[in-house]
Amino acid sequence: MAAPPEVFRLEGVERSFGGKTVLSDIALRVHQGERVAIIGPSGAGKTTLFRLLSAVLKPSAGQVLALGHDTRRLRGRALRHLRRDIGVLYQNDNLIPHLRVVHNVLMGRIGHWGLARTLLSLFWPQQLPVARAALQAVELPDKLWSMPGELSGGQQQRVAIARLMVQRPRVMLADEPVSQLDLRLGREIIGLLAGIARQMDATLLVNLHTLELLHEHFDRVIALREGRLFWEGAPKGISRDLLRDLYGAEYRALSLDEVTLDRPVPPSTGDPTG
Amino acid sequence: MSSVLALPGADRYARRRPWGHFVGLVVIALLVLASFTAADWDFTALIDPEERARALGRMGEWLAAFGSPDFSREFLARSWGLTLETLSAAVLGTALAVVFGFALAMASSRAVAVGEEHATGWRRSFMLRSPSALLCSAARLVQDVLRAVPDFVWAIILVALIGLGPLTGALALALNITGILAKVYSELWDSVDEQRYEQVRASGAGRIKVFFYGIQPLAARAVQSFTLMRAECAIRNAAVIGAVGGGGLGAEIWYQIRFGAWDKVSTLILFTLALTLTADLASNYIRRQLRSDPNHPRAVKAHSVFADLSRAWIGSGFAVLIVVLLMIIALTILIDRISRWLQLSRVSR
Repeated sequence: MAAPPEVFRLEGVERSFGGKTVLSDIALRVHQGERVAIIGPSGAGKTTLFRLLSAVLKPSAGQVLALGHDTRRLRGRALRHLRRDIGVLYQNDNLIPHLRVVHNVLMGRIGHWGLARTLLSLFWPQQLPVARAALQAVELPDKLWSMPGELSGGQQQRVAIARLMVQRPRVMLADEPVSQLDLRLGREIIGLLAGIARQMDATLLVNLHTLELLHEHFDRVIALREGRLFWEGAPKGISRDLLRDLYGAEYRALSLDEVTLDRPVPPSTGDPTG
Repeated sequence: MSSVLALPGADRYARRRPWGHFVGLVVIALLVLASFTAADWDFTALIDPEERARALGRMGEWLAAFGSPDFSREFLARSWGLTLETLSAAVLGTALAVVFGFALAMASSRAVAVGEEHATGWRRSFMLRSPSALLCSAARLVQDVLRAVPDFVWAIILVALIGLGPLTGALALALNITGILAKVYSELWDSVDEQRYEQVRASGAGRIKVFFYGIQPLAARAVQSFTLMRAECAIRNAAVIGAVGGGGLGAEIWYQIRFGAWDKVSTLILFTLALTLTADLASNYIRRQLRSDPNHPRAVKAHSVFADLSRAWIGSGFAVLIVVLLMIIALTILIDRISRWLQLSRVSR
């Protein structure tokens, strides 16, 4: 069986900010159509990794190949075209609060439009049917003309997902998309995201803090710790010991003990030691 | 050992108490004290009884003159016309300044003109690092020159170039305010946190698209309210600028002072006061209408698309209406002036 083409390929990637190394020695491959979850304690470098993958940041050392392009070498138009093919969903600040929902959704198109059409759209929204259809798909058709501030947190995330649908990227990166939402809403958003990724045949990478959501939608889990790749494998390979090693001091705060107890797939290794 | 101290960077603070801001405060206090050397402490008018009596007498005369303003019908009509002239000069000047200031600010804002760059350290302030960085530095130089020259100096220069009149005042105001607005707009745009519009950039937008979909909307409220504040100031300054050849109320006040017609000066000052107060009130009103904050207690929670849209347009529509009305007034005055000037030149011939 021929493996599907590679979407991301990272070799010895390192990233530091002002002398402080956030990521080091990361080697990673992601193939077309995969659904990957990335976990790890806060400060592990998950967001930095995502920003490297979306070509907003460039590595300090090593190589990031995104859709076959070395992000370090890309400039100008080629860089913008690459970014257009990589859709990003952030934890917050997804929407520009002073622009109506319609403009926030159509922002997914501005990488495809020329400058004149992009500016015209601010006065007279272009491709309105596309925006309407996307909002319909996230069940917010009546919010087309609302301001983002009138929407709840979950609704805002859904508007951002509608933008992703309009953008039609080949890869979708979601950086802790549900950390500000409660579990039920988070499950709904992750489900929506995974469904849309499947429908558009896009690769999906999600940073997750909520481990309860890992098991339904993801093929592979990557754990980061202190800027290094800590563990990689299928979701069912995650054990309580692994999580305790991974999260360290944060382990209690995550109340993982309860989680592991009501989880549908129990940890495969070891007897409960807690 | 507590976990806070284990965080990277925490040891830097644990070791030494920061004191930089105390030094800053002391330096500012010293500078303020030093600035008093320029003041000339002459209290003779208050201490010497003879001087004091003379000063009080002068003040009494002035107050008496100001207390009886000239309210004759024709002078009131004249003052009203002059008020409109001043107002139209201010509005025209501000309108021009907003257009040119916006463009100049786009060029001189690093976030807009240069956009993302990966230059670090000293290279970030080296202006030949890229063509756009050079443009940015050049635009900053232009706005500094425009701002550094006060509006009445621009008026004096323009009087030499294009002669006396309200148009001169409007242009002088426009030049100075362009510099100020460009400075403030570009600072506001530069101060928007890059993370807040990263998603626009991540969707494949170039610099100008990022500006219009990210930076500009995020800074819009501050930009609007500062522009209104500047418009108020322009109305005040327009009255002053008249004195150096810009026409309007200022020119007339200066003229009447030279004749010692204090009653007329008093009337004119009353008109100036009324104008600036009205400008204050109007700008406050517009500011309230322009708020696009849906959580504002007085925001209308509309449910139809029409009402939703109309809410946005009412505020800006009102502002546009006022500007258009004032433009019409300015134009009629201008036409009136020109025709009078033509008549005069025909008579003199």
